[in-house]
Amino acid sequence: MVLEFQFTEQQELFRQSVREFIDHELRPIMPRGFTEGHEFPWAIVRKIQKQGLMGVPIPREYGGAGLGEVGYCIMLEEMARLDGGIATIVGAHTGICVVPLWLFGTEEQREKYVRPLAEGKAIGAFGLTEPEAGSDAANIKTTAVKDGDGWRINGSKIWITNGDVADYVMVSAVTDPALGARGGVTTFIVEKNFEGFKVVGVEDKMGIRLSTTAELQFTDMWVPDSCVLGNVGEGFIAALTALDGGRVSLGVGNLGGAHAILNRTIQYARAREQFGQPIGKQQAIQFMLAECAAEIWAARAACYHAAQDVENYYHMVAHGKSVPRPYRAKVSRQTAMAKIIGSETAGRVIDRCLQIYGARGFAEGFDDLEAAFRDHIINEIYEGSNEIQRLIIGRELYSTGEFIL
Amino acid sequence: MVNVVVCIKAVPSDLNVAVSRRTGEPILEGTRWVINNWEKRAIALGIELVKNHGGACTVVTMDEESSKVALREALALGADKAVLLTDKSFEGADTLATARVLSAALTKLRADVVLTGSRTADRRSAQVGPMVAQLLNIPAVTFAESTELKGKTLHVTKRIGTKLATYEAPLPCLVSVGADRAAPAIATAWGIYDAYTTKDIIVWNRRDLDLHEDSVGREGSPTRVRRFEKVQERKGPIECEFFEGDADDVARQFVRRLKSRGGNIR
Repeated sequence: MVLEFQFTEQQELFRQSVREFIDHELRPIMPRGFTEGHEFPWAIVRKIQKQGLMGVPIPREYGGAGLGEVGYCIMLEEMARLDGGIATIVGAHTGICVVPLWLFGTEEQREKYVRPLAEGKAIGAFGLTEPEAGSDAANIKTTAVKDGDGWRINGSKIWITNGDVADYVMVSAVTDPALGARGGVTTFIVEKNFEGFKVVGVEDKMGIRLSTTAELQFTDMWVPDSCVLGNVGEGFIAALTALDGGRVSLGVGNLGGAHAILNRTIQYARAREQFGQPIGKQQAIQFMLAECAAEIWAARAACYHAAQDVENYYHMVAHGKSVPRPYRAKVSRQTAMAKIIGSETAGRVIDRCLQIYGARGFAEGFDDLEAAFRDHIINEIYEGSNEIQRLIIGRELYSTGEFIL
Repeated sequence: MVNVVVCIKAVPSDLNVAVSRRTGEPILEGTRWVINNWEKRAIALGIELVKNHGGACTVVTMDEESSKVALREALALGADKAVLLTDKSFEGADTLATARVLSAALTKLRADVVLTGSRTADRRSAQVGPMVAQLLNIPAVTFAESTELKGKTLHVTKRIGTKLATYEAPLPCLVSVGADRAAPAIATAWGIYDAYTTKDIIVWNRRDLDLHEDSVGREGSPTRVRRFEKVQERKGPIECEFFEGDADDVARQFVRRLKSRGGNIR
């Protein structure tokens, strides 16, 4: 077992360049406070696309930056320091759309779809969730029936991040009801101009308001065979593999956001005076800050560890190597843990920080405390609720009879 | 085709470093090194020249073997080649000894246009560029804003107060880039990949440059920094005064002004 982890010089340089880019190019144009409406932030996303940050883990030969899952996590950690919504846009596009396309797509599909998505010329989305298939993801009702050289798809998808603006959406549909999730679900690459594709609406959410969340409907939508991702019946495994990476980057991102809030809070505790001295001199405040720092530190180390394993795992899948079952189980377990500790640590940190800010933090827009608080709620819900993550871990513990580190 | 060479220097990202009471030297352990900001502008200018006229843009720095990160960043920003000048004997070099090493490398690289930052953020001498030009016996224009190549002549513009001056310099020449130029681009994710995979760093030592031990490093340095002291940061704007006239005139006015401020000059 390898317990050491160190960022390479290249990774450090990458982090620095992303941070510089965000501070100089994005921060000055960010909307503050509770933004009205739900307009997709094109001005910001265009800049992110030009900077090469929409395909960080994708190999260079397919238009990406070739910086691996760890590089991707570094970018998302920095992005989340800026805003949870922006991180969600980039995360949904990269982690759960472009990555499975690259991992399971044919060479033609990689050329046709992965390249423009990774180069920042197109936006992607991932559609698994349905009204009756949330945590019970295997219960999807969208169907795809063989029709000539393609498939006819009917159904709907909800809570689809980037769904309203995406050029390409990965849609999972039932191709064989008898087989269920294992073999009966197929993922299709759907282009936005396919006939029968419709964006029904966009949600109004309490947090991550810069990220748009759409409901999609497919009515007799015909999709050619060339748009089947991987093989027919492998849709569920493709989705689960993508979610492994999605979960770990989400954990890291949550911690990035929490870290930024903690640093602001430390400054506030040094400046805000009560009883004739900065509140930061009070042990009650120092204890809260210390707990925040310790928890972020531990959770971050765990998440990057999991990210490294995901990087290896994806490398094996992309190169068609067979992945031993125990290794796959380990990666899934670790990413589930990363998602839990990343999101819940962030939740506790932001909660304490708001308490330190007092009413100031409760007021809209001040130091973005209120936005961070509204944003963090979703972290424990999306990409598999934390209860489902616990289920994955718990089931494995029960069946193996011990916790293998 | 134009052969552009940009001389860069890695500086601490945070200049607020501690100074050792014992040695009087800044404590630089654990410092993150970045390209001096004005040299980032010089790199951008170099890449622009090559884009418009063809050729290659090479970055060169004199530093320790272990510190290649600034060169990698330059490659990530779009430079074609990077050269690290490193040798145990280069240590402790002042501006002149540094200029000797750089000019030897520039001769070896057959530079048409040499670009530098006008000064570094950490030592602030603004001497190395002009010294290199002197050693190579080529013309120099300092604190430039932009350049344009017309045949074998480089047109260099420079902002002086509210005026914009244009200079002409025949190739080869040296241009030091000032802060008037717009902030340079930030390395993209693609650039950072390329900097570590498709591009490499060439390493030259004293022998490669054919330099004598006495002319480099501490040995070859006529000046010494006695010590550093930490002082309160100066508040308010930095005063800038321009002297006009021919070289002798400017020098005389300058000395008079220094004396009027209590400078001990004979």
